[in-house]
Amino acid sequence: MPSAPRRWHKPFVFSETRFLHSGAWWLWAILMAAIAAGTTNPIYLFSIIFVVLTVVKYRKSDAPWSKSIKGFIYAGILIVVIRTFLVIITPDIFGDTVLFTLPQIDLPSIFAGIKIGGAIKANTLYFSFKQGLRFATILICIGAAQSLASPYRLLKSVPAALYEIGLAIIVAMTFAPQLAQDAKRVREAQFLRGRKINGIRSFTKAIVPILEGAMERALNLASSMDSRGYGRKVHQTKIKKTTTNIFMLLGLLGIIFGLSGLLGVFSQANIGLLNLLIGLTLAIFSLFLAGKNASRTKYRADRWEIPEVLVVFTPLVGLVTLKFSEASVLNPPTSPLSLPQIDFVSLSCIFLALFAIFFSPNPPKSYKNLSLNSKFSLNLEKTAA
Amino acid sequence: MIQNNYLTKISLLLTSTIGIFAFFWPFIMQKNSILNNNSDNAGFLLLILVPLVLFVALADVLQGGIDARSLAILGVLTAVVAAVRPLGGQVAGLEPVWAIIIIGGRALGPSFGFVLGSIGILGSAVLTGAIGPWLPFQMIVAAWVGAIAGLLPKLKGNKEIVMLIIYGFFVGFFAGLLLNLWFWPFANGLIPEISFQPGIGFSDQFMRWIRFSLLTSFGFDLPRGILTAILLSFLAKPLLKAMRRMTKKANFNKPVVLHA
Amino acid sequence: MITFENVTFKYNDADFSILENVNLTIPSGELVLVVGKTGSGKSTFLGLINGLVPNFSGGNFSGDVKVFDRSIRDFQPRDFADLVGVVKQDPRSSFVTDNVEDEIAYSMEQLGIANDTMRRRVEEVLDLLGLNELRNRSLSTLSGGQRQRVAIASVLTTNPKVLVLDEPTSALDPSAAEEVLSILQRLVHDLGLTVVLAEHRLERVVQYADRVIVIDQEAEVYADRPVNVFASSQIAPPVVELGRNVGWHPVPLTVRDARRFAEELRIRLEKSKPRNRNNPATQKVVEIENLSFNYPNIRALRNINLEINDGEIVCLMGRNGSGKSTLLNQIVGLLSPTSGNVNILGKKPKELTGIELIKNVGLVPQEPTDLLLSDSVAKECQASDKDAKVIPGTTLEIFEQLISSVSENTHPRDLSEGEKLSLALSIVLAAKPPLILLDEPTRGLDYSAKKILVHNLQKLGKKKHTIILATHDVELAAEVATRVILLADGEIVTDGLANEVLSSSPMFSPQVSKVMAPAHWLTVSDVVYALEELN
Repeated sequence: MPSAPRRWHKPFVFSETRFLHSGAWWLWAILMAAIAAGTTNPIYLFSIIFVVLTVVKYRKSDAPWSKSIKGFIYAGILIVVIRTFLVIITPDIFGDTVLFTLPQIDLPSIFAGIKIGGAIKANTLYFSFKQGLRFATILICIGAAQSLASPYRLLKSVPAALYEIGLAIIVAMTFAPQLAQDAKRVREAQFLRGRKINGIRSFTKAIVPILEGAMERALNLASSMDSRGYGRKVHQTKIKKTTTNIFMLLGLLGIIFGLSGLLGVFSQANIGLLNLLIGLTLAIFSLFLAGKNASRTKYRADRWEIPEVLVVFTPLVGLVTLKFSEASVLNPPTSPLSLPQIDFVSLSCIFLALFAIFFSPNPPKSYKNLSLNSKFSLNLEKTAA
Repeated sequence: MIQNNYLTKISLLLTSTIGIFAFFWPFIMQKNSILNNNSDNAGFLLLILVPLVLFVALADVLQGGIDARSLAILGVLTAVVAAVRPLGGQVAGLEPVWAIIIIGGRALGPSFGFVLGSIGILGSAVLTGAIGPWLPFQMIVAAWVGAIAGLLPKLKGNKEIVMLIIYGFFVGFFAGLLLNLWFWPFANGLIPEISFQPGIGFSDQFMRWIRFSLLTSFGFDLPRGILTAILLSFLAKPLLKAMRRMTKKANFNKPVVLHA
Repeated sequence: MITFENVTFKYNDADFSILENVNLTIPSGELVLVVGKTGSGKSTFLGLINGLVPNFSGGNFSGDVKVFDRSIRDFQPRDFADLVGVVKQDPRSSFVTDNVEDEIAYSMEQLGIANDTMRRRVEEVLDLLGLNELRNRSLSTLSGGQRQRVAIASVLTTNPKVLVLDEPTSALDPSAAEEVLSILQRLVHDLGLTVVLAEHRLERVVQYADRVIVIDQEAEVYADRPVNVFASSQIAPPVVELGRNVGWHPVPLTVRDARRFAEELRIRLEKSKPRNRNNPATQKVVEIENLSFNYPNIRALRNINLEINDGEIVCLMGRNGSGKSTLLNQIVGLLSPTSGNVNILGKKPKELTGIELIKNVGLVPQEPTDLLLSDSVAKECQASDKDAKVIPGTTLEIFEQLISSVSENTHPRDLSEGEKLSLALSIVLAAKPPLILLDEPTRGLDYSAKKILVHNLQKLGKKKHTIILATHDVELAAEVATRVILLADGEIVTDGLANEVLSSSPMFSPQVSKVMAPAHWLTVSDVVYALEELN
């Protein structure tokens, strides 16, 4: 399965070595999450998790961010456990398979007579588990996007109007490893001065010099950015700027009125929808205007090519076919307790998303040399002493 | 420095209004709402709307209006936020983050605080791989936390520090409660006494939420408030001093005198 | 062409003008060296060239600076991006992006240069600076020399006519420094760039300079040919000082020039010997047996055996990454051996903490600022007295002996590099440890600060302190070392008396020894002393 496509000769567009557009991986993962949102069938959910993790396995690069999926898997497991445990505040589902009986607690009056505990039924437990599993699956899909797509390349391809936001985060990313080294050095210095290096006091004492060093670097960086032309190509006449501002303000006002309308604050609901649409259009238009104001260029921007389109297409099939599946398949009944049903067509369509492995190019291995850097990792051994 | 004209202020106010909708819609929603046919509808709509509005507002505040110095400080403080984030423990503990954002907003003003809060959370999520549906909501709360820190009354010396510590307690406590609110409507399948149900009237709805919070997160929120206050009691004074020293050094708005 | 017309500049909170009535013209296509003491206004002078001063720093400015007829009165630093490239001492704090290729393209993106042009120029610059192999690397994985080359590449893509560099080699080992400097020379020769360079380590750069600008608080700023400047200037590399002291004319600027005169001097000194600088030993201070240490994936130290006595001043030398700092960290107990033993005064440093540690051994780290944790000199000293459990005022007293005239209320980060080092050293000395370690102490120090350091170290050696220095600075080693240990790849390659080791190693020999080879002379003062003895 996953490795099978490798035996065929992939056409060149698919076997290139480059990063797939980060946006494509995010769309792919969000679509997978959307599939998960539409079902509580454990077989479907586990299939989605399997597909997602397989694609991550074969398409993540060796860069540091690729490891973020692990955290999401742990979080997913935690959520399933907690939600299943919340069976004690899940309403009693009609069913007969009592597993065991917990002592019942009546909560104080503020809780309006809620009772906790009592007879725990397999039906309720199963229901809680399904609910938790769905949320966990959605989480794992989002985690997969973060493992597959380089955050750096994603920030590089933000629209022009969001350039400054992207740049601030890029600066943070570039700076973070230095910060870790600074932190290590300050802790070592505390040790060298014969001070304790555990506890909240030493932590707070350390954070001041770290922050001071950081701010000093920020000013250096600012002067460097300025002398390298930052902000030079933002030609803004006052009129242009004000126009952009006014469009945006009107847009935001439209959204506010639209939301109030939709939530039923006014008597006529349709006005709400109209207002919201107008507001959104204006707001997005103002973003577009803002982007127009700057005339920077982008070096080797990631392009949207055939592999990107195909990768995004793979989960779409599953999403559409799932819409036509029967309700009893998507949300299997909990009472009476029975094995979840499957519908062969929709289930196999989910597995179509595996083709993302085939369609996407090989991620380059550019971070090999990072291992050299591991000697900078925090290893202040004397902490225990 | 970040531009601080009345247009910026209005746009931040309007954005905050939409932010209030994003959190409090369950209490605003009426029975006749056309979103009422499914309890998730409004939630999903806001899940899409909120990040969009935030980006529009931030783009507007920043584009062409942020100079290299502010941007560099913003970037570096974002890295600091990302660095202290894991210290708060795994279960979404944002206490050290609040401390940095509060002090940053205090030292650099409400507009910068707003931007620092939202970008700091966004950036640290990108850096630590913690992007999720909760992100836009955390961004709004953090933006408010930073902006309010800048808006608090101008006190001097220890009075200011005490004020920040008290503020820190409220932030630590209420941020948790607020961040419960966005997923509350999605937390279906729980007993009706604690579940969101559209159009049942404010007081009933509110009580349900309070019960939900008491049962789920209250046990965490109180210690979080206390921890934030403790952190600030250690950090506020030295960090505020350090940041003010550097902003002075950064020479914002300092005159350049050109003689003939 | 760069012109300074009647330039006077004062910082906002300063009491006096740092530059007063400067009139200068720097012609195109020259490599110009800016020399001056710390705090003399070198960085201000460099900042004026693209308007960072006064537009970024604030302050009072009169007169005019023009670069190819573009005046800093009319334009902001960003408007000079296509004319002036600026490179800083530590390029890490100037990197905006995360990998080599994007960093190189950053300036062009800001200028809105078309995509195909950007692509072409990036390739050209990658080839010019030999960076093609590194193009996909993350910036955090580069070595110091590579980083500096990327920083130069990143300002070259806009085709600037002027390159301004503020101490580009002070953090580099000798070979990496040479690599960077020869690139600069090529840029001047092949592309006709004007390069303006400030550097403390004159011995590295004088040979490349076409012109020298001298900035001095007490005298007028002037520019002249190196030969004329160094005939009389206060600041000069060792080879020049040797020439002046021996009376060679014209004063030689390079080792090669000096060797032409040296034959006669060598014969004159045939019977003389350099002064004995060894202090008699009474006690073993450091004992290292079969020490090996691995970082994850890297063998940092292999099988080190070493004994160091009191009164010794030992210089650890070697390339970046050869294990010098790691060895110091082992001796101070920041790291523990993977195998083998480290003993200081019969104790394992790994087991020492707190007051016990600082009473036995002290380390001044590479960045002395790291050791400074308070917000004023006075508080720093008080904290140090408390840490070392000594009479209040001890640290301040030591500090004032090392360096005079620093206001107690100054923030430690606002001190000059030399003052920071002295403060860090005073903190270490407060606890009176018999063993003192210094990691790369001369980074960013000017000649006078270095002289003070040398003097202080020699005094400590006389007082039976053991001093171990890790350094690239061969001239420092030549001045103070009694013993030199060369490390390569985590192993001790050579261990011997300073004048033997230093005068026989091609990479680590000081200028005087290069001039006097094959005789073993290391410093100007030794030669001068021997000549006086003869008379």
